[in-house]
Amino acid sequence: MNGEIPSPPATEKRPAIRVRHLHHRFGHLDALRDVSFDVAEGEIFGFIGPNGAGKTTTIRVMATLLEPMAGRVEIDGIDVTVDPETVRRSIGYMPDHAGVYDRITVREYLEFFADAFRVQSLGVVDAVLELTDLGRLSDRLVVTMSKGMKQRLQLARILLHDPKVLILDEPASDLDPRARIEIRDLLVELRRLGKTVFLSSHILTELADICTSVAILERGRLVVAGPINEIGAQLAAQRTASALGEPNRIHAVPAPATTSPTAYREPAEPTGATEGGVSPAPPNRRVVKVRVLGAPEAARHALLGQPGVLDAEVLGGVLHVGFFGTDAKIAEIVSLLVAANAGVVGVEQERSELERIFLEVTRGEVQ
Amino acid sequence: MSAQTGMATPPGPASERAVDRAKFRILRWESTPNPIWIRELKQAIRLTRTPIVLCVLAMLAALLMASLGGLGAGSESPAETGAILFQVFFSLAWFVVTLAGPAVAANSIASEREGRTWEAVLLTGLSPTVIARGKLLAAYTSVAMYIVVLAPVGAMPFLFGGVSAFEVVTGFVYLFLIALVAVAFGLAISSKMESLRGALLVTLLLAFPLSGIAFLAFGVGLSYGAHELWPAVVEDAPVWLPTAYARAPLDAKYAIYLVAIPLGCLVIPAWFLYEVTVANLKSAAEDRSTGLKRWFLWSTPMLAIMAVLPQLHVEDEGALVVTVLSLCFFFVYLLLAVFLFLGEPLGPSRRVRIGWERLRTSRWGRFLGPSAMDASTLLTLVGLAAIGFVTALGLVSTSLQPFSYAGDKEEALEAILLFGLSVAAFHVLHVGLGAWLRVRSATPLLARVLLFTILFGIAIGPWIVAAVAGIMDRGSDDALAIACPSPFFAFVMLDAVNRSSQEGLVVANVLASMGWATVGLVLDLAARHRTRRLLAAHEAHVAEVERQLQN
Repeated sequence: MNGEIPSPPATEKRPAIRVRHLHHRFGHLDALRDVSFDVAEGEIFGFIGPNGAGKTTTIRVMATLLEPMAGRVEIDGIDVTVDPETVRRSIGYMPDHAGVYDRITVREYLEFFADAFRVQSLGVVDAVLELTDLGRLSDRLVVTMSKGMKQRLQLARILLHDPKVLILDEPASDLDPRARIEIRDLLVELRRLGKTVFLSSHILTELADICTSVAILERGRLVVAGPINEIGAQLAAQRTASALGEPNRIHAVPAPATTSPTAYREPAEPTGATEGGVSPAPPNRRVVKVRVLGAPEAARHALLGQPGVLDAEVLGGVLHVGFFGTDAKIAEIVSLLVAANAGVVGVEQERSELERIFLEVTRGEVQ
Repeated sequence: MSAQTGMATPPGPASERAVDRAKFRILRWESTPNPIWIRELKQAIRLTRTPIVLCVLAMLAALLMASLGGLGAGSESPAETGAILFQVFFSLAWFVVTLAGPAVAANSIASEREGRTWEAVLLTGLSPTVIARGKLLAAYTSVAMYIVVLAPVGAMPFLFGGVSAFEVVTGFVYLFLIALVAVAFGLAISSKMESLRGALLVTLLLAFPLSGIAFLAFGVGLSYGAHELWPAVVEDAPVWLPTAYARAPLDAKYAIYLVAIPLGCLVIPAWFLYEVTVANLKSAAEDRSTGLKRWFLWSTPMLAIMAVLPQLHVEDEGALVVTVLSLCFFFVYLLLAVFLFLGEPLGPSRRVRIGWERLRTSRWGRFLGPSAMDASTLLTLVGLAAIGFVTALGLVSTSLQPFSYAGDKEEALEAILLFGLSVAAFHVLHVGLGAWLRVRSATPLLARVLLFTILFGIAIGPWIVAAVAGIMDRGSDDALAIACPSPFFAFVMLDAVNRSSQEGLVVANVLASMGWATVGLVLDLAARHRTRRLLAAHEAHVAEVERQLQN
């Protein structure tokens, strides 16, 4: 799916969400420590972190439900602290495990929120029902709906006032696979309609499928932010540099970044220092897993040194090939293996890039 | 355009005339009513248990009234039976309204929080006042249905006579007004609670005793006073107000005791509960203070006027008694206000300050905004003004009374003056101590607990010391002055004023009052100093962050 959704180009446009030096504390617990990142317009931005990392606190600040102790958050250029009313008109916020009114029909539910949002046109409710494919259920009582349908209804609710930015906190939690797929497809559709989607989730593979960029939070601190492929490539470059004995940068983490190419910083460096010098974006590194009938080692040797092939290793009898390029490159790799009589019986694209990044940049610490 | 009603919003008024604007408001209210109210009504319609509960309640009330009517018809005259049924019905209706009202309202906001629908409503941009009004209307509609269902049963006394239609109608009007306060009470608690069960439990735990106490105090208790004023009103009958409306002559007493004071007793608490609800619905970063401070600013003089009005109709020492009772009431009221305003933040949030700048809020508007020290100033000034007003009126009223002995009048005047001084001194102490604790405590709750503990110690401690020292047994001894730090010592002073041999106790009370007032002022100054320092440090921190953000 990564290949299907092109990343929006890095432009000079004002970011849809701008977070700078965000601090928040609950009692003696630092919930957020100097968190900074940007989300460009039209992105699906994944927000990841273990429980207690500060995701929901960040989201609540963005949704104007919590005033930060320090720092600034801007939605569509408007400071959430300065003008929360305007920000509320620009965002659609879906909290995790949000509830719905039970003894009311789907249409009545949406009509209530349309009135509450002061939506002027009666047709908006019908349009949203159609967009979220809830039209056939419009006269059904909400209490009789499945969880997936209720989540869909929540999405319909936050679309009523046509917000520019959608902030979704764990929208797919507790949903069955079908409902997850439906929600995911709906988010992709919303992005096509020009919405910026800020998405918090624990389901990394799902985020990898639809997100163009991610931010990873741990113990209230941002450990990495930027386009997934760029983060992955940078981490790979770090590993390589480390293996070659170059200055050890294993513990360096990518800086809070915009959708512009990811920069690097040492953890101790002030965040703002990374805004200027930005390194060029590395090519997109991908991994494909190939099952062969013959000896995997022979197949590996056939691929090493080929243009675009970064590395190849055999893990559990399966050949893992790292490469740069598009799906055409995968076809080329398969052709090479066929030509080498490797006996290709299965090709599977590795889709856990985000999982690897997550495991690599976080330390499993909770607060 | 309202999606819920399908009606278009009327165009704005063509002129700026008040009548046109009022018409526009009514039309807008008709076409685009409060969305929360409409949604809650739609939900309530689908709640099948409501009609069953209403039917059962009406049937039980009818059975009770019929049984009592049947029993009474054998031994009493029809008119007496009708009067008894009138009392029974409205007493029953009082408890239905004062218990069902808070229970229904307690359900409303807490259930939204528990059901996790609350944030969705908040983020629609509906203001807390619109939300509070919607919730109030929804709960009030439910409670009004209880009253309407009971209305036919309330007409049963007519079958026997002894009550006029005016009395019954007035009784129902008051039921509706009391329901408003009851609903506002439940809503105020609900607005603070996170869980539905907790809200229901707290509401009912408070509603049961308050309902009973109010029934006994305002019903049975005041019926004796009403009988004194208007002999046609039966004493010992809890539902005396409708009878008084029907049978009292239209004069100044009627206007004061049957119109002004009852309305004040309903409006002031209802307004307070509404402001509490609105404040609780706002986030900590918003202005939660202005509404409550405005209520305090208006209600205190209203209460002061209500408190001094009875002085116009008392004789001899009555003025002293009324003034002392009024000052006692103000002592408690102002103490509660101190506890209320301990919830104030030290200063306005950035959001509030930016809002002030944008709206160009006046200095007065900012003074009423969030600030613990401004609240302290308001409490001190308004509280002392009210105490001074009540004391001054008490002195004037007493000086105009024809006392048998001139010495009695002088003693009464001295007693009022010293009692007023004592109340004022303790008020200054409460405000200063409260401000100091607020600025020293991490949370308002901690400040409230500490203030309660210290004041409890001050009130009770000296008497424990006196008891341990064995002075309590020698009540007439000047040694009792050891208890002068307690506010209750003012009552000892009242007694001592009449006895020339106990001047020492009077002096001790004056000294204690002056001492406490000084302590209060010093603590208030210390609190102000610390607040200024904390706010300056916060400002410096914010400026530093701003500087970093600019770079």
